Amino acid sequence: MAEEEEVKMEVEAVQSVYGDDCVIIESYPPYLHLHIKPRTADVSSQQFVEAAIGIRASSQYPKEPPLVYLIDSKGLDEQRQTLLLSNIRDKACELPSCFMLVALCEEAVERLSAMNHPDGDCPLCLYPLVSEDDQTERLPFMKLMSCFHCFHSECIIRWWNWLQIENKNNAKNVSSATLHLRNGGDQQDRNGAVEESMGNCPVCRKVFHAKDFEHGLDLVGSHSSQLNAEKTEIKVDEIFLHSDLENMRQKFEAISKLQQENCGLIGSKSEQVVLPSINPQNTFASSEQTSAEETSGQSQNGAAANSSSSSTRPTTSKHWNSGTRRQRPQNSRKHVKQWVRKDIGGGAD
Amino acid sequence: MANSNLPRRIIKETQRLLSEPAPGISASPSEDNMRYFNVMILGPTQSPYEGSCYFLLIVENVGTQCLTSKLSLVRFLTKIYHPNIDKLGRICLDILKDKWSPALQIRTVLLSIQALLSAPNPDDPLSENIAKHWKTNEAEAVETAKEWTRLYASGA
Repeated sequence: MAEEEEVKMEVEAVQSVYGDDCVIIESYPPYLHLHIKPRTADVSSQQFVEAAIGIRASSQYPKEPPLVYLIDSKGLDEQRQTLLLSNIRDKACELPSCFMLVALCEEAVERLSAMNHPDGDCPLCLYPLVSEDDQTERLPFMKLMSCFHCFHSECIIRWWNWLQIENKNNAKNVSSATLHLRNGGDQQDRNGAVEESMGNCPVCRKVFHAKDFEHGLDLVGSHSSQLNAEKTEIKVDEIFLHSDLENMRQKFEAISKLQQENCGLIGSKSEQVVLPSINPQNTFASSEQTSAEETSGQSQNGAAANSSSSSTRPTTSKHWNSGTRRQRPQNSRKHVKQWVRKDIGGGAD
Repeated sequence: MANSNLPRRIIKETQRLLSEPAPGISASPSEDNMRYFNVMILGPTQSPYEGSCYFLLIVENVGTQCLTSKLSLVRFLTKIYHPNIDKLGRICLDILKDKWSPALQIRTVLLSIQALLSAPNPDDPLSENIAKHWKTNEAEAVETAKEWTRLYASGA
């Protein structure tokens, strides 16, 4: 029983060291949750990681080391989560039969502090947040306060600006339809304000506030050239040297030819009814149509149009706009079109 | 040449698609314009589309600044009997519409489409008729889907 008292005292010690960051769930056998932050993060903008761990000991403690597990974390990818936990567990093994709770918590904070830097690629441009090989080429990046996901400043702000324009366009469309009904102006302003000040993290969809960005807004522009310019030309060629690519293409071609012969490809025969219509999706549809033709020309190179075969596909009449096709850059190969959409009345059987 | 001045992201995505392909999915960029991807998805096992190959076309229209706009077009080229895919091959999938996020990649979109083949959702239909069929007589609808798979989507 003397040992139980000692264990309880140790738990009290943990509580006094970590204060509000520590939640004691049981004082004996010890069971606690600890919220850890890196020591190096005095300013919140310099904090890139945090974690909550659980430590649960059995009545055999301290002879048996306690169980340590991760409850929650921010800014840590799976690899670093695993590393953090195994570091703490290793520490537990180094201290057999000792009162180790404080030591484990310290180890956790220590290890987390060493991880207090953003890691990996920008989720938007897919290039490293922090360039490893060339420190001078460093692009400014920023973190969302709500979830600690990091992005190149330029990437996220560019996306954010785009989003604002989208929202405004959407709001215009909606407002003309609905806001007249309710004495408009104020309502619209309020909606607008809400939309502008909040967004969802592109990675986890957690809501963030635009003020997260403010410290980064002035960075954009001064570095914009770096992100887009360099090194692209060479890599394009490298991609086409990829050995599997040719095999893949041949396989694609063979299978798509087979499907073409079986009338398995959409648009292989007169099943699509082309109608001028007032479908609001017209512009999208027409661009789809153009590209569909381009690609089928591309992938079914040389296959003959299946004008005689028929399709068993049931038809619901879809409306297409045959006008306003978007012009895309095409080369001569793409002009070989294997199938032609029929006009009204060319519908499927 | 359409491949000059490609956004870096497209290049990165393409490299990854080729070097670490997702199971059951192969995607290759068109040589003429790398914004076009020809994609083949194998019908997932345990689904009515098992044993099939479906062709899709993707045009990645990530704008001049490489991040901002959605995938402009993802569409089936092979006929498929599925409540969320219409006869023109268009796909009803939230992440292609209002749930789009710039952190989504071609790979993630294709995985979602693969999952959609495994789990048709007739409650949010694109093809009303097929969805109705699915809801009133699922077994029969699945049979039709299998039949279509056999007729149209056979692979090598």
